[in-house]
Amino acid sequence: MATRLRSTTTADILHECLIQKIISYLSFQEAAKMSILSKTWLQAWFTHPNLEFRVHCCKDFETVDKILARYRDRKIPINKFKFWNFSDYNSSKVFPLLDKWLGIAIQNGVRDLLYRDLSFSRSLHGILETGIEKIDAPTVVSIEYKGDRVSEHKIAKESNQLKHSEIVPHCSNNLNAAWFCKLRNFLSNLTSLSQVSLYFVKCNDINMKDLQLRHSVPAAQLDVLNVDIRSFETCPTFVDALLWSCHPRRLNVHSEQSACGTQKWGAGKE
Amino acid sequence: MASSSSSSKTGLKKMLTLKSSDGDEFELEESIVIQCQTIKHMVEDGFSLIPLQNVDTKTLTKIIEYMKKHAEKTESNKEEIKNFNKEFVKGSFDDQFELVSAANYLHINGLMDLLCQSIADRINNKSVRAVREIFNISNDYTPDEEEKVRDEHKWAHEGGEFDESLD
Repeated sequence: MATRLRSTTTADILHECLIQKIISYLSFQEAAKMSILSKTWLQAWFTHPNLEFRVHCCKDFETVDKILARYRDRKIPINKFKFWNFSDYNSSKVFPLLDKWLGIAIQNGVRDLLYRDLSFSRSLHGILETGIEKIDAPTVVSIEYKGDRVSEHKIAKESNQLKHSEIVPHCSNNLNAAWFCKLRNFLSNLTSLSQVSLYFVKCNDINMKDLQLRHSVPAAQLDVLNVDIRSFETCPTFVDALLWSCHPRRLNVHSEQSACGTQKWGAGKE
Repeated sequence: MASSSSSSKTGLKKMLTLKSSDGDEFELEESIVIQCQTIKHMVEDGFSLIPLQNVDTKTLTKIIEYMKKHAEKTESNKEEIKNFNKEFVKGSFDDQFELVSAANYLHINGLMDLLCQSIADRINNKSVRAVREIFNISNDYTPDEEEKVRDEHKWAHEGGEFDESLD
């Protein structure tokens, strides 16, 4: 017999498991908004697998902490954990919390981590030191960072499935040879990374002689290096410096300045 | 429309018959139908006439259309499949709810993903009132409970105007 869904006794058109499934396709915030609809929708939101937080103030940190505690206590699976830090709290306050939250995310099976930091006072160094390094993260496949400095720190317990990393240097000053030297050291430590993305808001000429003299560790071999330069300046030595920092098999360049020496960059490919 | 005996018809291709809740029968190649996990298991158990008591003719016709197209999927027609999918989800909310319930019952994972994504996209940024109406949701909160939930999720309700439309 045809049991039309409309004529079932419950008021909701869709079964609870379908509501849950549909909610998992909404953004975290949109799903949270839907929790007001009914108890079924509230329950469905409780198990949303893709966490996204944008924190601005103290109260936001409390909200995140409360939500993460629920995921920990109920062992709710986490697929993505994305965190945008717009606050101006100093590192000593943020990192212990972040460390705890990352621990919960990884415990609950996270596969995609993103941390974006808009503060100049915090660095990638700090994130790696307090966040990733201490945690064994065998299932994480993607990590994005946005910070103001590239770290020379070693990632000790690096995930062997980590396929993609985005590093977003957030520099107020011109980049120099010393910075690229740090980048080279940093990348050479990430032995299992196959793809790295770098974003630059500007580029500037680099003293290649200075760079050559600093030669230290062997350059990292990467599968893919994605470079995105949001600058209209022309600066071929900038890209030479990038290719000095690592040796990608494939280089994808996106630039605002189409004549920004892409021919030359192409020649740097293997 | 179709006979319930399967392999006799074409000789080479094994045929199966799906029967909708309205009693209509559809004969299809096994290779097309096994995208659906529920039917696949029934085939493995030796069934060739498969009654689908939760799926009416209208919905089953759409689902067969989907399975036929996706059985043709190769490396070279990705764009075509993409366009097909786009057209496929254009129906009303009620049609999509029927389809998603059937896809769930039949365990067609690709179709589930397609429909859930499409429904989620369509309710994105809609007002609470509009979503309640679309899903025919009865508010089972007491005023106190609702106030508490709203307060706890205040951060999610901030910003922007919400879409009140019901389509």
